[in-house]
Amino acid sequence: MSENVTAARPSAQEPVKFKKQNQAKEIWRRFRKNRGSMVGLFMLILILLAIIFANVIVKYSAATTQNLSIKLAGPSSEHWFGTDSYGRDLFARVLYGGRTSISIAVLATISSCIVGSTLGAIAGYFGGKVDNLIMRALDIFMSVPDILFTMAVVFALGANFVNLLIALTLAYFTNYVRLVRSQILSLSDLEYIEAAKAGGASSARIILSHIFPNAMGVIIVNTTLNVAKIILYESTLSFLGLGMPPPQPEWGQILAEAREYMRSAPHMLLFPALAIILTACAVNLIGDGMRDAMDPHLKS
Amino acid sequence: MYRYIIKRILFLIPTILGVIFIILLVLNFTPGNPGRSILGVSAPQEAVDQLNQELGYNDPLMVKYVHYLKNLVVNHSFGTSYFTRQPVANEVLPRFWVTLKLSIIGIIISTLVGVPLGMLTAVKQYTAWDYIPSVLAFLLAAIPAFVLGMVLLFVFSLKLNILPSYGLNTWQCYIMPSLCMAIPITAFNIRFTKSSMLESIREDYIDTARAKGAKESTVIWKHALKNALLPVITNIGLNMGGLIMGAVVAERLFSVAGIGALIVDRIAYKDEPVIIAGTIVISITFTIIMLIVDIIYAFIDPRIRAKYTRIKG
Amino acid sequence: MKKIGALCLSLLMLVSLLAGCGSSSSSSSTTTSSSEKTLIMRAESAFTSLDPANSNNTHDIKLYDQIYEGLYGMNEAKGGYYNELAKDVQVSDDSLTYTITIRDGVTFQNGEKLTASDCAFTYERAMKNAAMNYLTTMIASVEAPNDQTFVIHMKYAYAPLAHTLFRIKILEQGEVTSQGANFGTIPNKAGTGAYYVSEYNVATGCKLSAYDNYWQGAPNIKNVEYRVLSDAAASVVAYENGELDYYEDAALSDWNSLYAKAGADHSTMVTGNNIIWMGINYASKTSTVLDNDLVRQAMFYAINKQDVNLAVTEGYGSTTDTYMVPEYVPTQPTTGFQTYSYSTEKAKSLLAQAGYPNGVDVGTILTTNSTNNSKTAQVLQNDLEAVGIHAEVQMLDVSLAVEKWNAQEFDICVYSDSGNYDFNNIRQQVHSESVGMYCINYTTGNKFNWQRIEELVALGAGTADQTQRLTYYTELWSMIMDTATILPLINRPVAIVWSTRINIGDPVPTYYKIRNFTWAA
Repeated sequence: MSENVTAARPSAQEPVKFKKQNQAKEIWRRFRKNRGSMVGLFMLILILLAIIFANVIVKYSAATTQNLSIKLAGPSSEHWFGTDSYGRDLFARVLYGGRTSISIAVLATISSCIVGSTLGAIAGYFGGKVDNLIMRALDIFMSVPDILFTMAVVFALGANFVNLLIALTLAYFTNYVRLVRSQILSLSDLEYIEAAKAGGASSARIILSHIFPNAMGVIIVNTTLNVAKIILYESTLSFLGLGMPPPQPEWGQILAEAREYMRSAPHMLLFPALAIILTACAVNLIGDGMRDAMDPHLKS
Repeated sequence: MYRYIIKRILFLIPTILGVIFIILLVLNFTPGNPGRSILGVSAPQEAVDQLNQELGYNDPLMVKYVHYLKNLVVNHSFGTSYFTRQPVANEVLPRFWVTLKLSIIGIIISTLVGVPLGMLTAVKQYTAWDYIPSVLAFLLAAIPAFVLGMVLLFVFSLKLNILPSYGLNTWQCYIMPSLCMAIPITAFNIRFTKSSMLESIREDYIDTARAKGAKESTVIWKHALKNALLPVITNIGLNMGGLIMGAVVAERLFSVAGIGALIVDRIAYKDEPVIIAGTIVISITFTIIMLIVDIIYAFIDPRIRAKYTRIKG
Repeated sequence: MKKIGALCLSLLMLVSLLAGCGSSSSSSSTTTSSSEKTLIMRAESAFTSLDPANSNNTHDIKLYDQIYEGLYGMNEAKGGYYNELAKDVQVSDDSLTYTITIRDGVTFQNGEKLTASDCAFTYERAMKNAAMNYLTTMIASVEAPNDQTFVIHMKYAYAPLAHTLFRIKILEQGEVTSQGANFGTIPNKAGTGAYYVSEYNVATGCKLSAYDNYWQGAPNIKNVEYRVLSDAAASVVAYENGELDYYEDAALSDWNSLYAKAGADHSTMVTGNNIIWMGINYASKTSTVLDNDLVRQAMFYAINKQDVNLAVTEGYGSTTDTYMVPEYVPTQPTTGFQTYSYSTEKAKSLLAQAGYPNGVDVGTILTTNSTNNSKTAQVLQNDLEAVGIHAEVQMLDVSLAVEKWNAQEFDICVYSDSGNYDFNNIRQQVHSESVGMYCINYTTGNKFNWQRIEELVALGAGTADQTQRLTYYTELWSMIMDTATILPLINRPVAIVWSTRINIGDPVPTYYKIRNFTWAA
């Protein structure tokens, strides 16, 4: 744990990086020791592998070709998860559906993170009137239920990947604004930031190269936890009829279709639900593990 | 302290102004119109247009905005619904109370169950008392809301036949919808309380207290708990706000006439007066709840209280 | 101590919030305490109004049918319209004047006698209401020369007036006028039916009480409660739990468990009076390939209607080639027209003939987001894809979809229709002057002999001779099928289950009458 004491020279990039590298190694070490987090990581890697290499395992056409004479068949050697209400292979649908669901969740998280963090950074760094304006506007914005925005976007623009992304970003960016802002407020006071300002570095540079790396820890933890939330929110949207248009598979969509067959063919509900639960669990475990790993008070 | 409270309450006014504007703006861009929804598919377009004109739906945004505000301030009225042609207050307020009741029950359940369990898992970390609730919390937090609701419906209504499956006639009807809303929050509370407690226990001043010879139970209860509870209380307030709209799923599933389902249903009909009134009521409630939370927060933590009373000098 | 005080303050605020909750008890109060039994019925969504002139929603009309009556009634079990409040209907030779003798001895729920002036009042009121336009547009004027006689003057001869006489429910003039603008928002006694509304809450439903002076005799069931139960899956549970007495249009996906619970004596599946059809907009500006007759025919041959049947009705329904259900519509032609039986070879060869041997993109299938329509759309998309025809699916809210259809701003549509008892109903879809919904405009580009189509519609409406009408309609329907623009797909059955507490008489698919129900011994 040799921290480089010469990190106090902000204008030179190397010392800061060196410190970051060491920190990163330390965080990884603590993470590895946490059994729950490793289980989560393992689960997630498995799920991601299955999804990325889906086309090696089973063809996309299996997910979209209907065969109504075998609709709602239970699991068998031909159809590992059985078939859905149109006779499509459920295993293929869950696998390819994972691509859609997880990629929307990840992208929506990233984009809401970027939008929210930028706003939060501006508010926190410039302070004063700008801060006040942004935070009050945010309060008003948060008063409007996010389901309203989501529905409005989907109604206005139609339901496709990009629009859902926009809708989800609108719903979730507010999480990051407060978070980043409070990080910045507590970090801005640090001496080396003052020194950087005195040294003539531009505001953008200061925010990006000094403040962000330190706030990154908290942001990352929250981001991972948000991915799980967004996956669940997507399924609620599908329940309300706002999911992706057919025949593209998506976990929430499969769940919505499976609802009416919950008693006659529970397998159709079970497998995508399990997929969602396992993914959300895995992501949450990782998020928690990262938070514990980054906690300075944790005795190693 | 009181000046702070008053400032917060006064901020409701720009909030409401902003909320009405945002909703009108957002709905301006969504397609559809109330006239068609009311008259049905077989009505001629001219009749639909005429009805829209009568309802005031075709007015430009700012006209609607001013008109709505005038109605609110001068007549103390939320206006008339485009869809049912009945006073909005008659529709929105009863349904709001229903959702509020469910949310309060949900919050009480999730707090009374989640927080103590969370504390338990923190204090007895790495034992069975930790693993079992934690794993359960993880699983329950990851179940989609309507799957949970349907499982409850089938288990308690169908198989066990002990709870009614819809409506709100008897007190038993409140159980399942509140549970459906409360369970994910309970799971969250368990995990959040646990991490908050753990953080608090590991603070340096706890070691100091131990070093000074204080009993372990005193250490936990007097010192760690107080600090751990602060973020937990804030979260309760935030959860409450999210709960009200999160009730949509439970309301739809159990056919409860709540405000979440009302707003969501009326978006397709572009019933602006109802959507605006519903959102205003929700945001007022949310503000009041956050205010209560902040007051509690201030009185528990002297540092925060000092910040608020600084003005008195 | 200050802390405790503050805590108390906040708790007080919370409690006052809760206390506010207590002040407004829900109006759907308990029924179980009364010794009189109450029939529990399901409302699949809120009833937006108690004014029968305000809604064309089938689900609202089902309620109105218990409360109000028209000059004609509807008996789905025995083939159609019958005299209800009308004792006798005389049509003039030129078919422009209807002279109706009103039944005597009928009273409204508020005690007033039914007279012809109530009929005149009701019809004039309906004629001013845009929602009723499609039912009243052919009426020039009405009058009530005396208490027993009601006269309708037509603008033109219109044989299917029966539907109007059924749908316009006679209201008591005094009650409607005195309630004024509130009529429809509060309970009223302005109908002649066997029940009147005693409690009404838009959000939760309504309660009906029996009108014991009903002209056909007091009904056996005295108390009815309609409860809003929007979720189909929850309705199944409610029925099996004993919380719902009569569940019609039950979810077919749960038919097995419903049947197991209800048994053969308390369940039935009736042929529904509905149709789902696929429409192609040959004049679509966004998908010009649809102008090609061969392409459209190929699309029709590619559709496996049995697949649609399996997807939408679990196989309990039936495929169909007719625009309306012959069982309910005697004037529906059943032979003498093209049917496009499923054949992927034929589809592919037509496609190749049209110049697209490797497939073609035909645009978007636009439909509403109701379950049945969206399932149909998905099956269509899949069947088309199987022969190389690519289409997207778009689902919109009904009001949005309808506006696009009316403006012919779509490529392909999935349309569902129901409750028709006369083939003249096709006028709404094929006549350019029809008011309201039509999806395909046959006059565009003069591609089809639309003049003859409209002529046949008028001829069919102009005569009361059923054989003659069938001849006209056979030619008409054959012409439409030749255009390859409308393809009837399936007909859904209506599953009905009811509790052992009641007997329901003859089951009907849509317009049940609670006054025919009785408590089981």
